[in-house]
Amino acid sequence: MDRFTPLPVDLHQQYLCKAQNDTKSWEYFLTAHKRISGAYWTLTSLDLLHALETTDENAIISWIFSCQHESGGFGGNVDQDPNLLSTLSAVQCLALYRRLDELDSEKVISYIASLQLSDGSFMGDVWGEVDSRFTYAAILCLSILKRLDVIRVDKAVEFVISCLNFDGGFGCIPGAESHSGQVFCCIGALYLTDSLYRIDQELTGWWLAERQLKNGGLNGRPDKKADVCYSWWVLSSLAMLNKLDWIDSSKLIEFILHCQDLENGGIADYPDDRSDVFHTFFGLAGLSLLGCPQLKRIHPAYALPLEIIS
Amino acid sequence: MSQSHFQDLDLRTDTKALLELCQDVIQDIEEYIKPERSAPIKYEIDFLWISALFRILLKRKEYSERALKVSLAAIYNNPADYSCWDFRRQILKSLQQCSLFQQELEICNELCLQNPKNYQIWFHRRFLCTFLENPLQELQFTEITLLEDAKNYHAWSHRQWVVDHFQVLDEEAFSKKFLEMDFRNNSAWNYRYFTLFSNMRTTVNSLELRQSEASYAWEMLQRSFMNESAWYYLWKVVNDEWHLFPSITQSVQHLLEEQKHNRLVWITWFNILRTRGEVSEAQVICK
Repeated sequence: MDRFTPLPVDLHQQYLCKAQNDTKSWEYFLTAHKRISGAYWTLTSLDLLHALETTDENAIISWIFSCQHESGGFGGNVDQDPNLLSTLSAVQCLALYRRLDELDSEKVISYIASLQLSDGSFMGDVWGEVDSRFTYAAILCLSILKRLDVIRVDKAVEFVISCLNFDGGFGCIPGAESHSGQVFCCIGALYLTDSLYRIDQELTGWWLAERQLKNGGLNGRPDKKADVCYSWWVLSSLAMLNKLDWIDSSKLIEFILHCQDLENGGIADYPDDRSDVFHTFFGLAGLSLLGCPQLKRIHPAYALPLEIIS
Repeated sequence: MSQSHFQDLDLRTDTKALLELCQDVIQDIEEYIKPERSAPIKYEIDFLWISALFRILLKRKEYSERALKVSLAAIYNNPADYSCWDFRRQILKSLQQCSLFQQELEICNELCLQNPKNYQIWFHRRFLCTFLENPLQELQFTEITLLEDAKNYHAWSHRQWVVDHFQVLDEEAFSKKFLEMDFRNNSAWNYRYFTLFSNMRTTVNSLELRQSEASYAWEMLQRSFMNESAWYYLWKVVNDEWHLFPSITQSVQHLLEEQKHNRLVWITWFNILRTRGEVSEAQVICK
């Protein structure tokens, strides 16, 4: 019996296309500053649904390049200053369309390298905020471009290790509380730099497995509510640690499916809440990791379809 | 707010006045108000005008008094607008007036309380803090935020940043206060560990401190042995040296029968056996 039902793929595809084109909505206006990340979530979701060809590739690529600055970095939209997270989203979108060769990668690479500090950590942009998310973004971007050589990988790894906490989780900066999103970023960074041997993988795996609640969903920290986005962050971390079987996948699938809007399409953070593109992406990505046959397989570290990475 | 403000808060909603202030650049505005950007509902059209004005000034890199007024309106409309916060930082750095920084902090307070999970506002606070050097205000503010939402990740990590940056001591009572309110509050347990044990805080990892903290964790566990956070804290404080904590070790053993379905108790016992070298007994538990 197919445990991935109901999964109305056509309805979700329609939802995503509608969200892309809904330029007159209030939500669209309010999220203008991070449009490029929205594009990544939407396009990757469509690709997982085997529907990327329904998008206007040339228009999107042209718009993405218009978000690039002299420094090589990309902003969240045409009038936004460059930052690391938007740069990653831009590179991921180009990778999805297999048009990375159109990128002047030297410029992007030097922008990313310029954001590394002497302790190995990365700033999000010139304003200097440091967070382990930015380390992951930098390492992932450079991995896609196959140019990890331009940064101090050893120091970057040291910074990630310094974010490791007593419970096996990772925080945003040394000493900060363990949080599933940060754990994903840190495990991803260690995975991509072949440094997972540096941590007690059993302990971290245990902390991650403990995120599963009675309703099958996964939470971000002890004693918090489940949210579909953790279906990705916790799950992909477990996948990278080869411990995907440490959670009850049937219950998790049930939870994600319950978060769908079966009338209008899309997936929400929690059952009966309103769906959004962000949670639609993470829900589909989670289902993909769990082997859903209707979806393309996604890579847990690259957060892109496997076929793009190989 | 008592004194007259350079950053006139009344102008936030007075689109007409702001447009008048920017008469000389108004011809550029049409470029920013294109048909496809039109808002669905009439009253939101003001937001578009403000957004357009802001973008014009941003493009011109105008770090002025009116830029502060326009961007203030824009930031109240959309506190998540990353580039707007950037722009305000540019203006503040360029104008370099202490009173402006203080006013900015008050604006930040209001917006932060309304949008407590907004990354940009918390980072903006950090920026202001490095100029104002006001750790006490920051500690007070994070406490207010945490009393609203005791698990706000941004508030806890901002507090940790302040404590670290300004070398604030004596934070033990703070975590205790929040643990009294909710003994399962993982953030409070983490903060307790950070303020008592992490390298930055103390070079003395005294046995006495570890023993009193282990007792504290055990005392909290009495309220519920399903308290994940308290177990993690206990494990770290003990740090595999169970022989130094004989009474707690014995208590764990006594719990095995009563809490036979509690994974956390069994994992603890497993670790105790492992550290004693009683491997075969430990393996029995694995089943």
